[in-house]
Amino acid sequence: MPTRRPSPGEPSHEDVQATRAGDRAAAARLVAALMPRVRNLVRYLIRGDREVEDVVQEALVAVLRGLGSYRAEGTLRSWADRVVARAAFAWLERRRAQEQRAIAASEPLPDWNGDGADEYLSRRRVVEVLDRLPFEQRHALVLHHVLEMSVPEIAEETRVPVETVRSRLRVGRLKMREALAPATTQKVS
Amino acid sequence: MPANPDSPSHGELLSALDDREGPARRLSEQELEAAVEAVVGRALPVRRVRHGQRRAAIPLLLASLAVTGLAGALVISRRPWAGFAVTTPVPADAITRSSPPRSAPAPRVSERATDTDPRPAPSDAPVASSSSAAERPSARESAADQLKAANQLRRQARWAEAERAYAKLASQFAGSAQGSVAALAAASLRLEQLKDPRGALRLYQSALRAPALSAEAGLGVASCHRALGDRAAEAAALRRLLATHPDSLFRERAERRLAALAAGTP
Repeated sequence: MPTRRPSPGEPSHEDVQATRAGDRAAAARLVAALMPRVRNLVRYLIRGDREVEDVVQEALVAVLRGLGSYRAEGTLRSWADRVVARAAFAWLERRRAQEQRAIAASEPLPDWNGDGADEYLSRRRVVEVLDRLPFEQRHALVLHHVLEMSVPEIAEETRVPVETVRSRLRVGRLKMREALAPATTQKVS
Repeated sequence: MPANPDSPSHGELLSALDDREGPARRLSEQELEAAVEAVVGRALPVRRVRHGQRRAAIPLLLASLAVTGLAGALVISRRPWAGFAVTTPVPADAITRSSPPRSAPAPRVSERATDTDPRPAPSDAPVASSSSAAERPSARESAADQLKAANQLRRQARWAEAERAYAKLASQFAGSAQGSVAALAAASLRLEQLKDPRGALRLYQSALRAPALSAEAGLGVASCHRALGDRAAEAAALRRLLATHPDSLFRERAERRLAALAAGTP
C-alpha cells in the first residue's frame, strides 16, 4: 500500500503531476513533504516565531499555484525554496518599517546556557542572533549559507551590486560570530 | 570537540537548509496536519454545486486556521449532509454574511471554558438566537473583532485567555457560523494547549450540531478520545466521521488512524 503521507523530502513526480491536475490528496502529500523545510526557511528569513505560520501558508499557496511553472530542471525543493524566499521577501517588504523598528528596539540576547549538543536548540539560538541583524545582512547570510546561493546569484535576486552582497556577508558574519562567541569559546576550551 | 559536528558552533554560522527540527519552532502533529489542510484548502478550491438546490453561503474560518492563527478564511458553499464545497477565499477578518445552520440549538459551553460573564456587553448586539443578529452589521463587526482579538491572543501563546475569548464568542453567537468556529477554536486550545481533553470533548460535541463544521468537530471528538486513551470511542468517532463526511479533507487522516487502531498501534 502506498504511503499516504511521505516523510519530509522531495515530493514524488507523480504527486507533482497529480497536484497540477487538481488532486487535493496529492497536493496534501506534496505540501506535507515540503512543510518542515519551508517552515525552517521562513524562520531563517523573518524575525520571531509569531508570523511564521502565516508566511508559510502564503508561501506554500504560492508554490501550489505556481506549480505549472516548475520545469523539473532541478529538484522541486530547490524551485520551491526560491518561491518561498520571494514570498517571504514580499511579506517583509509590506512590513518593512514595522520590522525595522522592532529590530532597533531589540533587547540584548539572554546568556546562552546550551552546550550545542542539541541541534534544535542551537538552531533556535542562531535565529535569535539573526533576529537582531538588519534585513539586508540577514538575507544575504541566509541566501548564501542556508540556500547555498552564490554571491552573483544573490546579487541578481536582491538587485544589488556584487560588492554590496559581499559587504553585507562580511559584516553579518562578524556580528554573528561576536554574538555567538561565548558559546563557541566554551566549546573550544 | 563539540558534541554535534553539524551545529553552527562547530565553525559554521548557518547550516544548509534541511528538514530537521529547527530553527522553526516545533509543532504538534495535529498542528502540522492542520497547516497542510489549510494550504490545500486555500490553494485548491473545490466547487461542487447540485443543480436546482439552493446554496447557502456560509462564511467561516476553518477551526484549524483559527487555532493556528493563520490568515485566510473560506466561503463555504453548503449542500445538506453531502460535504462542503469550498468556493473562494476571503481575508480572515472579513467575516461577512452568514446564514444559520439548519439545526443548531445553542451549543453548550463548558462552565470551565470561561469564567467571564457570558452575557453580551451593552455595546454588542444581542446574543444571536438566529442568524438575523449575526447578520446585522454591528453584530458582524463585533464577532469579527472578537475573533481577531482571540486569534491575536492565540498567536501570543496566551492559551487560557485565548480559550476564554473563543468560548465567550461561541456563547454570544451561539447558533451562528462565527459561534461554531469559535467553539471549535476553544475546543482545540483546550485539547492541545490546556491539556483538558474532557473539556475539549464537550466543546467539540457542541460544535457537532453545526453542520458546516461537523467534520472538523468530528475529528476533534476522535482526538479527544485518543487523548483520553479510549480507543473504542476514538474508532467509533472516526467511523462516524467517514460515514457522514466521506469527501472531507480529513478522510485520509481518519482512514490512516483507523488502520493504526486496528493494528494496535498507540
